[in-house]
Amino acid sequence: MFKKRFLLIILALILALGLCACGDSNVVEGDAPPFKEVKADIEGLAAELLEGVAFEDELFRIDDEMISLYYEIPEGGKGVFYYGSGATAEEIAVFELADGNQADEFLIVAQEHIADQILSYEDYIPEEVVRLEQAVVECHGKYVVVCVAADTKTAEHIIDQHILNTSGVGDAE
Amino acid sequence: MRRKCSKYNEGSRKALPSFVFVLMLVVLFGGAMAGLCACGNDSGDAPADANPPAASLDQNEQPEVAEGDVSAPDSAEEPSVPVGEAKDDLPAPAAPGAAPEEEPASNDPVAFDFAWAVPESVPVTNAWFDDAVFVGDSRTEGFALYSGLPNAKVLTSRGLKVDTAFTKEAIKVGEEKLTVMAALEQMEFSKVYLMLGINEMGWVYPHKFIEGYEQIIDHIRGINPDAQIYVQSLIPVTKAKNDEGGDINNERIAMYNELIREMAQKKEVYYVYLVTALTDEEGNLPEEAAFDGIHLKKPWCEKWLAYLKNHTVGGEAFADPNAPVAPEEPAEKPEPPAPAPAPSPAPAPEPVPAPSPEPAPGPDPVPVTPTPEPEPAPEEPPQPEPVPAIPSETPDVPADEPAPDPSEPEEPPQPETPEV
Repeated sequence: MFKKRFLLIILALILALGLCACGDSNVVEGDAPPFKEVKADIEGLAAELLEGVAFEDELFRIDDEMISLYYEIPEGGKGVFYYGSGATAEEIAVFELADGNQADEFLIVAQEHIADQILSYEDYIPEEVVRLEQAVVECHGKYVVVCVAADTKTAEHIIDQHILNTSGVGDAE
Repeated sequence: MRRKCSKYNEGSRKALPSFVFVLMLVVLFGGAMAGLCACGNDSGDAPADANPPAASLDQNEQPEVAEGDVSAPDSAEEPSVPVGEAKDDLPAPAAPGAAPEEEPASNDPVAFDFAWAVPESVPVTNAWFDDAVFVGDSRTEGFALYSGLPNAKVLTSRGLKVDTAFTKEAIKVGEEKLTVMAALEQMEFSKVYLMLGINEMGWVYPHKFIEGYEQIIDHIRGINPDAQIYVQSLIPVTKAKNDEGGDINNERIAMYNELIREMAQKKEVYYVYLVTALTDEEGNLPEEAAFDGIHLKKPWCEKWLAYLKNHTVGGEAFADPNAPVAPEEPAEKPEPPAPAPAPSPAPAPEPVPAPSPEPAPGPDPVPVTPTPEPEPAPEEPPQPEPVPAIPSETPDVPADEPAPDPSEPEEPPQPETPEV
């Protein structure tokens, strides 16, 4: 009986040790690297969106020091921002943050910006509210991308393709 | 105690009317003669606020104009003094090419004549705007984004009007939102640049717009009595926008600019006449300047800034050493002061003489039309200002969309005087 109990204990220990071997989520296992780091070129992506998405207004690049009028980029981050004349709410904003956590927090900032724009335009140019409500606001790794345009499908496609081409894999996050 | 007038009695009552009648005739005749003489010196007697007529309208004297009612009361009257004509209390604008009768405004804050727009000055560096605040609507917002002036503070809100500057909580300060005026109270500044009015184009009573603007100026003075206040003229729209026939058209803009200029003189604030720097020879904003005819694209915001940098008062200490040097000009030949544009609600605006400006000593880095040229008001004969009585809340015109319609259920144009 003592022997049986001993064997059961050994078996339980073996099972317990096996369950603990979760490993690091960042470790690439096997052939498919589902958690490979996402990479992007914010300048290139912004340019691709500017080129590929149909905008009504003419967008101009905003100087880096003026971006803070719309987006407060945290320390360690940088961004590229294109905006129109104000006649529409169209914009392109691509940011690279210090890491994924900062990007997650900045995603909220971007969403709040869109919400502010909705409030601003609803009494001003109500038609823009529809465009804003369909805005593309995405987080990929340490990158946050915002695109306000009527042609959101194209914008999403361009973003996905860029991530794929730059990172080598699709965004698994 | 009633005193019996012994001179007259019952018996002589028949004689009384004759005497009084003669006396009345003499008085009337004399008064008429005096009046005719006064009319002969037309400008001399015109009251300062007689023009434009809209500015003097008393709401109590006019029926409320219902929304959608196109008969704007203030468009029914002819201005008592044609716009553009010299008024007694204003210096006559100089004829083109001629030296002004009076000393044009200088850039010296001590000697500045508020009857005139700020003349061309020594170009300043961006540092001039370190302690400046720009207050305005969406056009100013675009200016802030594109002008390349990172040091200036900006208090803007789309659709901002002279009344909502006190009531609309649109400025994010920390975790809360404040009105523009409340946010300004929390700032330190020495200069304020204002541009308001495009969203009030549909107001039935333009004088209410001026009243609201004056309250803003008073409020700023209350915050900082020593601050320089620059009131910028409204920038015209493109011809295409103008031809849409809505509230926002260049004739009305010209009329508002005249009201603003008069207000600037009255309140002794600096009037900056942007029109000639940003418009074509016909006085329209070039089509390529604005997507929707109203909101300026980046290159025109840069021109806007360049004009401001060339039109300051007391900015010598901020002179830009890198500004191109203009050919020597006689020091005393000032640039013809910006004429009091003649916005006329009606009469052919007498564009202010815009003499070809010799660039004043001071480089003119930007090929800005030297002389503020009067609005190219169309030659049309005075027609009562085509003011559609559109509700006050005319939002900045949406791109590609017709101007807000009178059918929009909007609150009455003239809000009560906002509390300061």
